[in-house]
Amino acid sequence: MGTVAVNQQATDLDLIAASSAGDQSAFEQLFRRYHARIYALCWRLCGNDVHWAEDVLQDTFVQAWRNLGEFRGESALTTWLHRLAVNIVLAERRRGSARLRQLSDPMANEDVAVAAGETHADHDLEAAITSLPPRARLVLVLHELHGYSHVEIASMSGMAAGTSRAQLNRARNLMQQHLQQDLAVNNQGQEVNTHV
Amino acid sequence: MSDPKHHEAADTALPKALPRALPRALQSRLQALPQEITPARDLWPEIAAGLVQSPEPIQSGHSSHWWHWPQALAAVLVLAVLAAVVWQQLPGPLSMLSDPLVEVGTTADPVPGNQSPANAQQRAAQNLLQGMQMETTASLETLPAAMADADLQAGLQEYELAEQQLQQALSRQPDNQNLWQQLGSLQRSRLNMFAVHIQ
Repeated sequence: MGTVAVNQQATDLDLIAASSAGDQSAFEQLFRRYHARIYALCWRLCGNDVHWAEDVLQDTFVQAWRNLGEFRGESALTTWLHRLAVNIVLAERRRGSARLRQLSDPMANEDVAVAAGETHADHDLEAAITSLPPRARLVLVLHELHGYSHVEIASMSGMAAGTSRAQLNRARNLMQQHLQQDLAVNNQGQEVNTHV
Repeated sequence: MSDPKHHEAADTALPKALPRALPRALQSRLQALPQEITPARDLWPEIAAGLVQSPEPIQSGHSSHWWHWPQALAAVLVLAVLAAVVWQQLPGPLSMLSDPLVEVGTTADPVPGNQSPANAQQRAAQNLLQGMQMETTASLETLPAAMADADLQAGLQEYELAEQQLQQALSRQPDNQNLWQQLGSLQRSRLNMFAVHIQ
């Protein structure tokens, strides 16, 4: 079994072909190339829960390894990996995993906020995303952050494209409400400081 | 990208304008969020360990003998149910049967002039039991070695011995309904042990 040397020039298809033949070093290159992109999605879909996001990322790449033969190159590899990650999160949600009940633990999110180098404004925005209901969050993240169309989201998540549109509107409205509330609280705080 | 501070200032002055002003700014801010986030630790070693457990990517036509044993068990259980159904439909007074039973597990040619419905059912039951024996043996051969372990084999041997004794007794007393019931019960019990053991 030949191995693909660490090479930035190797195309995804080269690495996929080598990985499909059992070359783990080629697969590691694919992991190194795309894991941060997949992790960003996992982290947001998992409500900024670091440990859950790490588990989903690991499961995504293990499943990718096992099912590389099914990847036909009809979409970008990241799209295929995103699809796997979405399915893993949705499957866990359907099972009513205990993790979902622990999602509101704010301490779990602090480390990643720092690791991601968030500004305060970003932190508010990420918190607003996390506050969204799961399906609205899924659509918002896939559409607004990763640029997927509603048809693609429908294909990835199993929901209808119309439902995806409706969930996006819902997500936007909820985000506005959340950010308005934050703004009002901040303004009140500033007024109090001015008077003092 | 819009300047968030500008919007904050405007929002403070004109709070009612916020719902209209926010979507575009919100969209810009969302799109400016990082699309890549590096995990705090290197997750590759754990993923590599996961790959070892599923060493090779699945190619088309991948199969494993591991998946054959539930099918084998299912086949045996279906035969058991069929046997039970046929057993219940056998005529009650087996003493009506005039044809001496041949030993179960052997093939007997039909005896001319002895083709009553009761006799046909008896032969069907014999054939079914014989089929069950063959299926059980064949199914065991498809089981992984771990499943056909020493305990299971010892148990099966005991059942086999008991069945041989019952069959010998039946060859001497073919119209003994008690013996037939014991044989049926023995077959069901053996299958139960088989199912419990591989769960």
